[in-house]
Amino acid sequence: MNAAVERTETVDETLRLTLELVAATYRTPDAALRADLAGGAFAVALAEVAHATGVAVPALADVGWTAIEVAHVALFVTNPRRVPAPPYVGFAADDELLGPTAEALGAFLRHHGVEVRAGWGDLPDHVAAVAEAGALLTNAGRTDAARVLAAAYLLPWFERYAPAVVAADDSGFYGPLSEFFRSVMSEVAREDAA
Amino acid sequence: MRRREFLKLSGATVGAMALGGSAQAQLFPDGFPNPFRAPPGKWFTKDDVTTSYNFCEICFWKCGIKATTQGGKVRKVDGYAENPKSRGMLCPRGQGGVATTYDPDRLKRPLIRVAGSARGSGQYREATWDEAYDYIAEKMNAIKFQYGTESVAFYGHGTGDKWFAEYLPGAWGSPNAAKPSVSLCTAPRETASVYTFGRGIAGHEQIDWEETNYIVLIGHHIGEDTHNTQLQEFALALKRGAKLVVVDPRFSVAAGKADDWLPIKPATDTALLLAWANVLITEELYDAAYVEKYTLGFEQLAAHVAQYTPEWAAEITDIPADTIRRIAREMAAHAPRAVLPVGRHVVWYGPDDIHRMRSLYIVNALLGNYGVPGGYYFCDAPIVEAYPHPELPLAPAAGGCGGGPTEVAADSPFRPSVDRGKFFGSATAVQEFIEPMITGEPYPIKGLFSYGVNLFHTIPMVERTKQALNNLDLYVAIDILPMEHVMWADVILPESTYLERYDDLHLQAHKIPFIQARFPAHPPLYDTRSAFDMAKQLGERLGLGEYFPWSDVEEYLDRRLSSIGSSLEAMRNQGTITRRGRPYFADYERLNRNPLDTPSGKIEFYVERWAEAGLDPLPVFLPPIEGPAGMYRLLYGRSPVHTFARTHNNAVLMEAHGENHIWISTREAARLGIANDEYVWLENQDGVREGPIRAMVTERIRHDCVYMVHGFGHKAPLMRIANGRGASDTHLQTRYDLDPVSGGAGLRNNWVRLIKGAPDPQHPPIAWIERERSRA
Repeated sequence: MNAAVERTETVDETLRLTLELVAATYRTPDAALRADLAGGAFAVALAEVAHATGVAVPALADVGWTAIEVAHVALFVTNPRRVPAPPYVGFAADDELLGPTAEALGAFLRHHGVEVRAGWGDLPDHVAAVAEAGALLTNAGRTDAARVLAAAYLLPWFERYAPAVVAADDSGFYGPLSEFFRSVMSEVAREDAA
Repeated sequence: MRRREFLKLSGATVGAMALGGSAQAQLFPDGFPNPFRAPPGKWFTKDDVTTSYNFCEICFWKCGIKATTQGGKVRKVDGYAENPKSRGMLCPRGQGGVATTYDPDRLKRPLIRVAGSARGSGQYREATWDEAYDYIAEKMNAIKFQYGTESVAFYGHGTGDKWFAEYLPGAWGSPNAAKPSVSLCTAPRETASVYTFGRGIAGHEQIDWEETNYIVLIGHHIGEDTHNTQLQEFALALKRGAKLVVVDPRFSVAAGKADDWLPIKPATDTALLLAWANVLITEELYDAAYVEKYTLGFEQLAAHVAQYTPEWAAEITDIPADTIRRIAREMAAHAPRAVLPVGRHVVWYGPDDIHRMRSLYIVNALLGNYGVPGGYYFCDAPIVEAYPHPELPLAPAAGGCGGGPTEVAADSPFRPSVDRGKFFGSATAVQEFIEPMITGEPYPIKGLFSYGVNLFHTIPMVERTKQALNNLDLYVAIDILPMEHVMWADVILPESTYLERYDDLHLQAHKIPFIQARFPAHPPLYDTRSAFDMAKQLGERLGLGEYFPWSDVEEYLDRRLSSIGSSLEAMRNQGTITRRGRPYFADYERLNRNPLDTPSGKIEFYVERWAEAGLDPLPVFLPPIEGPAGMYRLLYGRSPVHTFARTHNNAVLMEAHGENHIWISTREAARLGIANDEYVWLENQDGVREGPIRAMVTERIRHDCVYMVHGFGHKAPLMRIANGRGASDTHLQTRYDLDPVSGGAGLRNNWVRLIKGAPDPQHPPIAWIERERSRA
């Protein structure tokens, strides 16, 4: 394997892992995330991404599971002091739900054969759904499409909302992770551009 | 890492990639490399566009609409000609209301308050529907075990309130179910109508605008409280040349169209109406033949109103006696095509309200217009059989104003509602449930459901309501947006919007009775449910499954429609089914039937049943309660683009009307040194302060009162647009006066002073908020 191919495979793997981490982080906290946190898989994956991109590993507070659940609701779902970060990539771009960016994203995903399962129960441009789509496309060999998702949709969301999450997060979990993912996405985009 | 499987690759693409063909595929669809715009010309082909019948839920006129959907999003709603409530037209709030479905602040999935966190602090975790239902059922059963089923109360407002303010309480066994649309809105007019005519008014004011030639509005805010076809008919009547008289302390929108504006002193309308009755009778201008044929108690009425001369009324109302006589004579000259329409929100002054409404009906009857072209027509709802189910343990009573005290049978397993004994009528009164939550008397209310009722912008004495909520063992809020009261709930159940759900059939009593149906324009955007689904799921967990025998909403609707020879599929393509009405006495008399369901079968000027109960059998004038010196009576009203406090996070509607003003007379403003558009504080008789609110200095209001539009002044930062704009009249209503007959809560016996020095809140333009939403 020559160096260029090896580097490409490493970059692809980093992208895939990053997208899976984003998907796991921003969807409703579930048993899988809880197990990955408790079992250390989440931390290992974070360390791999950090190593590959040169971004510092985020220092996550040792908070209880309930604190993560509450923080997720307060940051992304419902909050009496307003939701700091509506988790929709189309909204980040358009200030409108189901606007032109979400439409374009929908067309893009359909074009690549990705569709939303019936039980998802949220908008298709939820940041967790977009990341999951990217991970699937990477696994299917369409890393180019996954890169579009990361650069055109996810990175703008993180650029806009990561600071808001950092400012509003009481848990010590979502704030550091959001800043980490923003940095990683920027790094991936920079490398792509290079 | 475990794979999260909410996305899947379609077979075609997986197959293509497995064959290695993906390298040849274009990265962007149709080679259109713009991730922020869909490929041009691809999205609005005819096949992409669907239409679905629905009825609007933004206000309670419930206009029939057709929703046009493209790309999974409703792009437009319109009225349609076949629907008697819209006739092909729709108002601005109906059009703009679509934005609520796509409001990013919507509630998205069930939430459960974290144990130990304070109500209102916003500490929630997401829950599955099963978890939420189980949590609620467990708490309800605990309350039932300790206090009885009656200790769970239910509030509801909106189409789905059938399930949470009527059906589920009936199945569960709680008489404590109430709608604010009764005791905080229409109770006096309904009770007065039932006892005078033997018929209520209900959700559709049956004024024969199309046939009338003379209209007298008593504090009726038509044109401000925009009800689509009502406004259409009103406008056509004026265009046709009908004369208009407006009685209002304020020069309202309707007054701007009037031939006569009578700026009456607040709280004295009953005196004016009694004086009109006096003139009609003493000058023998009433319709004697009609009175003879259709009414009972005229002699008692004539003797009673002899005391209420125009000169007497002039002293009280500030309306000159000559004007009172002139208007009475003009009404009589146009009778029976002269009408005094009943308004909707009539809980103004408490004990006086029932007398005002009775007086209004009596003047109409003296003009001979009830059941006659140009006056009030009769309307009955079309009949569609209920889905067969076992009889509910307790008859739903939340919407009823139709009779005397609800007597509980000696062998009934249920206690009467907690408001029994506080007033004569049979309605349940929303505001009277609050005190038992605090005091436990006559028995405790420990659980509460609030379906679509904004507790802090509906029920007076807001702080008392908050105190009551803190005493509950269970508070469930069912809503679409995170209103302030929602964030006090133990469990939040997010409802799908009217564009995303089916609902029960809407059977409309109307001049043309009709049935209309609601079909979802697209699936729910989030993990939300309809009230229909929630009630069934919860009912089954409570062991009440026998009362919910249907399999799903489509089967339920199809079964009901089959009783009239229709079907869900037929209705899907039709939207509305109309019936033939019987609007006038003549239509009934042809069938030897009598539409008046009073004990005498006549219009009862004198109500014997009230006399027997120690109540005034004839309407009397009660002198108004006077406010503290230096304060102004607080009047409130409606906006044509807003509904109650429900629509103030809607960017489209807030663009049209983004904050309320406090109207004050030019004379008083000059005395206080208040300039037009200046921000002021409002402080009421109990020291409660609201605002800042902008002053509107105007000649259009009397000097002894001020006026503001209801529904503004939200205190919910989560509602990014609504929050902090304008002032709340409800928060200034720290007292109410109970009507001892109907149970209505008179809300206009509150007074405020205007205080200078309020800062300009410098509200950003709505468009800017939309653009900047959630930016750090």
